[in-house]
Amino acid sequence: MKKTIKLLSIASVAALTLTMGSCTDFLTIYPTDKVVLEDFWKDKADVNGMVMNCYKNLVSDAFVKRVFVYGELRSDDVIETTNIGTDLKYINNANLLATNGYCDWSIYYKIINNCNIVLHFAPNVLEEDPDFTQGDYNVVRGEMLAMRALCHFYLVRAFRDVPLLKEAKIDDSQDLHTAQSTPLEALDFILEDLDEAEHLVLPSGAYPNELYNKGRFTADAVRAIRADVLLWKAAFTQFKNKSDGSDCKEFYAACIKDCEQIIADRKQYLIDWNKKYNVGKQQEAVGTDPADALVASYPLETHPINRATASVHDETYVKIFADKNDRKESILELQLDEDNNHNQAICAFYGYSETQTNMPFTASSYLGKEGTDDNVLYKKTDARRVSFTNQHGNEEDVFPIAKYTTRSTSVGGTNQDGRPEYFPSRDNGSYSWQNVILYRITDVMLMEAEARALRADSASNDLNEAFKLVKAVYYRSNKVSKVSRNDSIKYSEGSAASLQELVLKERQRELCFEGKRWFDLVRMALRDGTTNNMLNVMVPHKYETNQSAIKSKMASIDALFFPIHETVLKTDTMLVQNPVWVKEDVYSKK
Amino acid sequence: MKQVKYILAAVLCLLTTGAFAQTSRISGNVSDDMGPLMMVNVVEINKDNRIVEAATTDFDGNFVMVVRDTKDKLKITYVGYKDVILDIGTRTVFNVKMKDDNVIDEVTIIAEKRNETNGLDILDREVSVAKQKFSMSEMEGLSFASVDEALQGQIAGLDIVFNSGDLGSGTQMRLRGTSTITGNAEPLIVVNDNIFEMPTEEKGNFDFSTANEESFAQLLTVNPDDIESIEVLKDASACAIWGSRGANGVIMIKTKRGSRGKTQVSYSYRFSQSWMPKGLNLLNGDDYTMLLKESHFNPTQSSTASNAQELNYNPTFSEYENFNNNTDWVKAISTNGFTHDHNVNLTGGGDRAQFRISGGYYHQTGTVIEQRLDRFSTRMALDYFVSDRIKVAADFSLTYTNNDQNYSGLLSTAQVIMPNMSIYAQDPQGNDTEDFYIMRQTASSIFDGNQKSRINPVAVGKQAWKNNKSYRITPQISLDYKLLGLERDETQLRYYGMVNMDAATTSNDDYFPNSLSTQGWLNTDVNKSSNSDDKSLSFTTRHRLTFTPHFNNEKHYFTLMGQFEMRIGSSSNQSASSHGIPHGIFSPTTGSYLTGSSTGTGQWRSAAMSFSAVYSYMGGRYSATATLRRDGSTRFGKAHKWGNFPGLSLRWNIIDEPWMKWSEKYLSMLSLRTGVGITGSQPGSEYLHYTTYSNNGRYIDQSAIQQGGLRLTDLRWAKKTEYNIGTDLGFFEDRLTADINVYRNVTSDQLMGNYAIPNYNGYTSLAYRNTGAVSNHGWELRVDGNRFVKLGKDLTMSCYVNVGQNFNRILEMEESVLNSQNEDYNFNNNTYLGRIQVGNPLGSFYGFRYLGVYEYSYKNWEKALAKMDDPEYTPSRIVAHDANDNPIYGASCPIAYDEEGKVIYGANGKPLQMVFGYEEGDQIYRFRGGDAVYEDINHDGNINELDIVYLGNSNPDAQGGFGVSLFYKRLQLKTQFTYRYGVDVVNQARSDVENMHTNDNQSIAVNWRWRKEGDVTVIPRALYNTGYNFLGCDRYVEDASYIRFSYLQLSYSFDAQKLKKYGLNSLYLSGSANNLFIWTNYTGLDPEIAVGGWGRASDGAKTPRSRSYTLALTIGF
Repeated sequence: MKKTIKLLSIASVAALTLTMGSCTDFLTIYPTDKVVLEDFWKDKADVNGMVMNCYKNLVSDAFVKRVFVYGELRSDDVIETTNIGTDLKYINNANLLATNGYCDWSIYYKIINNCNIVLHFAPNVLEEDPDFTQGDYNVVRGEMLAMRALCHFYLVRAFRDVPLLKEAKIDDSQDLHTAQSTPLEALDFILEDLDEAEHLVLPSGAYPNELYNKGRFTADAVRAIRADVLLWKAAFTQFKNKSDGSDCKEFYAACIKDCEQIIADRKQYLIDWNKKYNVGKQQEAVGTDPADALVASYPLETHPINRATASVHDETYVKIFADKNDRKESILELQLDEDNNHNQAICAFYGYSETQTNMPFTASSYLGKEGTDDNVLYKKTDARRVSFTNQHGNEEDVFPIAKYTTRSTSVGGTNQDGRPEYFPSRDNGSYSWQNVILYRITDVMLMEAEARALRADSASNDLNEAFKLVKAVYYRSNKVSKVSRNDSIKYSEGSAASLQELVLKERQRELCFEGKRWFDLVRMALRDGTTNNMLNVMVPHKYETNQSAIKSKMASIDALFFPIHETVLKTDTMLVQNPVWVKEDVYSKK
Repeated sequence: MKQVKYILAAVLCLLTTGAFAQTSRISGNVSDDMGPLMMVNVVEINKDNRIVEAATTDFDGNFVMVVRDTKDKLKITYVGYKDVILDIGTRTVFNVKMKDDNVIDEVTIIAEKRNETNGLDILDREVSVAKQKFSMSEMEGLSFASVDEALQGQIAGLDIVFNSGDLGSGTQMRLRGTSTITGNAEPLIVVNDNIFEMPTEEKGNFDFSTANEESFAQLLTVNPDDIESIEVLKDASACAIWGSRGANGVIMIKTKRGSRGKTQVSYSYRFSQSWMPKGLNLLNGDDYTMLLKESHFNPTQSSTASNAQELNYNPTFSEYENFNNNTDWVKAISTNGFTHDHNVNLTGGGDRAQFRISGGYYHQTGTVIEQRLDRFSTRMALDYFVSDRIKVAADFSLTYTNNDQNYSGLLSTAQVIMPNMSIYAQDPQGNDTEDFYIMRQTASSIFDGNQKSRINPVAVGKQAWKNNKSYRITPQISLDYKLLGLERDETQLRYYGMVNMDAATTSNDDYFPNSLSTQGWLNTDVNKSSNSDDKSLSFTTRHRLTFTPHFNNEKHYFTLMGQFEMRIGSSSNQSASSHGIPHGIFSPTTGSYLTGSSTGTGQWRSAAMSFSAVYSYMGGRYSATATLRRDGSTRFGKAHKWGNFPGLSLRWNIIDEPWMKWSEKYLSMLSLRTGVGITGSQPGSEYLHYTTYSNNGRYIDQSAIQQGGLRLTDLRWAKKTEYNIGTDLGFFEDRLTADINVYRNVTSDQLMGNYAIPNYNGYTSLAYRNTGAVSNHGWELRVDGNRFVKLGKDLTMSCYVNVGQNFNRILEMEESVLNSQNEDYNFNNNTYLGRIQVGNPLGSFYGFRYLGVYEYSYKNWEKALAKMDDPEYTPSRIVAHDANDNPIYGASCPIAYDEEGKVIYGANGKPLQMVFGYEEGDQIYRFRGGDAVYEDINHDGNINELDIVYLGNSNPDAQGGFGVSLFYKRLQLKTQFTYRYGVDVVNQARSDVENMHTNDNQSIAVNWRWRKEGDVTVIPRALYNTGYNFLGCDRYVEDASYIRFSYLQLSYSFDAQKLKKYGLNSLYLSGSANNLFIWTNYTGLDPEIAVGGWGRASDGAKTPRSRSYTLALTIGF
């Protein structure tokens, strides 16, 4: 009896130990439709797929829409129509509520975290897959750092004080709270990323697929972002130190260096490209006009329909925006397409049908109207006005945006006003497949001009250099007689302030609707230390009524930045809201 | 295949080697007084009563056989004769004379009530945990589709609420309150020791907050007629044996098995007729058109807005005849429901085998047209006693249900669709044609908002359909082996092992024909069909050793159980839906526009070990039970895969103490019980602890792979700790029994689903996170009087009462969780601010306080104030409260009052006008005459979020049931009542038919609406799509306390002796009236409202529980 019990107890203890061990295996099941971490990060394809996913998010609706909402909507490039929705309307009228959907910054952090994940895991693949070489890894690392920098950079420009996400978030045991950094801390971190990335990513033109040369981060793209970041660093430094800008010279020097490098690279890239594809000489002959020679000395696309007879119109911008990936102009261009990644933002914001109705905003009449006085941006000779804006049917003062929406231009055809016919893109219903250009050559040239104009002192040649850059950009789109050309662009010789004003204006003329203008204005306000000048430049062009109310809403520099969305504030009580948008908690219930 | 290994091991353990035995050849003859008996069973049985050899007698009563062992015995059995057992020994010839079985010697039966607790079979009087048993025989003659309906009001502390009166819509059950915030709060259902879950729940990713009614109707697959008894485990020390599954309590169902005796056949039939109680009185067509004209006129004060030809009764209008009616839509979709419930069962058995086979067919039609539920069920239970030591049991059950449902809720449409519209299209003479009338898309634009989208409910009922079919097959085989002693006075060791398979398929189909839509052919609603199929298969195996040593000192009793259990299963599902299918075809995969298709698979595994021990001393005077369950789950990462769930309970039978001897006369039981236990719960989805990767489209020409959400390495079991103290009382030989339980439980480490994290981490939420704690405390009382009143010789009375009271409280919660769950007020009509606050219960409503309707517009403020000053005027209306909450009476006009109850005057000498604030300032709404008055709690003249107050809570203060039964000879009269007290419900249905904000039909209450200055009424003016007349406020928060007279039943069972001559064993007749009456102040159709998200209950015009009567007949052969 006793023996039996003893035996049984031994047996049961043995059985239990046995089952305990194998039970943990028994209790491990894997998903059938997904790969788990343990089986991932094994080969080059895994890394590549994850990198592509970062890009995929970069072309997501949320990201692309924010390019325009953060960079464009609040500027004097656009005015609202009656079709503007609540969220956009509030932004346009400087009523920024923390509940506004566009205050949601999650897409940037999603991309940043995806980049961090690749940065975290990709080194392991070096050991796992011999096909994944150190060289491959370097490129991946460079691209991820650059993309992370770009996203952080957008956040700083839109929200100013933001948390920096430096580590990959993979599981719930990590600390999920990060404090905000000051803009200068953030920009320094961004610069670190970019400095490292510059030497890792491929140089422009190195990709065999031409789309990758534009659609992925190349060395020139990294430098372009860095040049931009440096301008902001200078602006924030000047704001912080309440200085006259003399403490920012090193940033401008670095910015100029980057821009020069890009322009030089780009020229070389074109030579290489021509060689590679056996194009020989450029087909367009450079005229005897010194202005043409100036334009031709930069890698600028020129494409007049008929150089002899054309009044104002040429096809340059159709080449750049509709034909996509213009090899001279574009440096970083998000690749959207008809099949996988539609561009819904363009349709939603700039309109899509031939008649362009229902779009929430249009070009302000300051951009749409032609003339010679100061109330219009473009002179009569400027091809960009008709390239960037349309006229809406018979309504004289409504100017739908033509940039990005123009798909083709009919050669020789004119409308009743005698203007060449443009056809806005008519894409498949609610989406378009236009690319979005983040940086192109004229942007870089004008950044250099801005840096030079700001650095200029009596001793340097900066003003002349800067003016040359501005002229090159301007002449490309103003193909009329020499006389009028000389009339149309000038600044008070020796006055840096006058040249700064000219650069700002030229940037608007060239880069309007590309998500640049608002940031240019904010930079100016930061340098000034006050929003006064900036508002005086902008408000009269944008708002017909309530100008003083708008000005008082944006009297504080803080008001130029977006509030943090309330869902984030709710989940992180330590986060500090932009002081102008702090809403007192109205709930106090029992 | 791992489980096979364990099963094999278990079987090997059982193999014992037999000793060599001596064989012998024997022969003999069997006869009775009349001569030789043919076909008599002659068997050799060993010491365990196991049959080792068998023979039968021939025509002359002779038999020959070889016996295996001469130590065995010879057993001779024949129907109608007494068994004969003889030693074999050296004897080789056996001539046996058998005796008639008619003479029965005196038999003494000692019965002890025994009870299965924590996997152990122990005496009732030693049960130390909180539980309650319910015998289904109490429900004989009543008609239930599923057993939860029968349980309502029967178990103290178990709150059962019907989801709706639609067929097969199931119930919502809460045992001792809700202790989880986002997880499943339903108690675990266990049928014959097997967890009874629908595959959809098991495979995870089951969202309980959006679960539809079908998912709660799982009990439909158990025929109530097959149920023997139900036991509800209430406290954690009882539920700990179910570990992670038992956190919400356990409902254990035991089905009937065969019993020894003559084979008996019984057939029962129940017939019921049911109908819907009278609902809201709605406007007829004439009143409706009048109202609509007014509501469209009011906002703009312009008659063009209200000039819709559908409302004009203009005979030149081409559709005039279709819009000049007074249609009672609710009546048109209502019907009488019928239930036919047939059950046959066959039960019987002898020494060796006992069986029960049953078959049931249940057919029910609903109280709303075109609802039909059919169920066919069969269950077989076979117990085969191989010997005294070994028992093999086989069980098999199959249930098929076919539920024809309405495509969409007909009643909710019928209540709001235009009553001046006709059901059938009418010809120019006003006669109905055969076609249903559906409002054209070309109808007036004022109907764009809603009436055009409302589809004729009669037509939807007749032409569109939705069908749910399910098959469920659960075979089971088990083995019971007594390894050591057989008798009580020996040391016993018992092995029990079983394998259970559960195979289920469900399919859902629906179809929506183009005849119901006036949209174009390409509309996705036209000829739409969808189909989804789910199938699942799961295996459970369980092995248990029970050890009961025998002590020489019989004061000690001890028993110990160890059990190992594993579950494994998989499921797959697919669905497809498409539209634009050719007429007459219902398959979504025929050439048409595919709107969606999906497939999916699921798998699950679990393992658990449990141990329990019971010790009792002095015949149960003191007893203790301890349990421990170790649960393994696939849903946690390595560190937290296993959870331990212990329970301990003690009982002291005070009545057994010698110093209680004096009370013997009155008291039959007095005990004190106490217990503590921990149960747990796991998250609703699998694979949470993995980082997963899946495809995500492309960029340029390369495919992208995305990483899934943050993996949860830190996720732990939610733990519920419960303390219970109880007492059992018995008076007059247990004729009157009572038990009282007081409990408190705390569920900490709550599994908060979709836990919001700062989105700068790249993710907006974690799938789950352990956070927060909720407590429930309360008490239950049950009193049972079993024929405890004797009135005269034959008349006796039984009664029972039970009451349960539970208090729920959120103990702790992270601020970020509170912040992200508590939405901001959105200034819209019809929304109740949901808030969870630490220290408050779940399920609270917040909103405005409603004070009536402004009699005067602001421009008439002088008139209103003058009226108050008029000594003739008797102030009857409260217009505000002062700081001390004293009411201020007066004629109401939209002006502000300060804290002292004085009118606030502005700088211009005029009173401050009440406004409805909107923070950005561009949409201020100024109140005027006829608008709803909301109390300005902070006296700032602005109704905004600062005026929101607590309005109520959906947790019942108390609930339970009671009943009285009278017995007179063979006649029985039974009544049952259920009640819930102190429940607040948002009467959404009433708000929908009183708001006059849309084109929906309204109730007749709106005929009392405010129409002109000075009108005193509580119904605001009609205002189409404007104004704030139905903000979330206490006007619609109603007390849904009720007492329901569940049934009144009269039954008679005939005397078996008298039936014999008709060849019957038993005959039982009964008639009952169900849901006879309901006492309530609730103004909706039915105060029984299930709670939704965050525990708040809102009544959205669900089909009410029907009234019915049932006639039942049971015959035994």
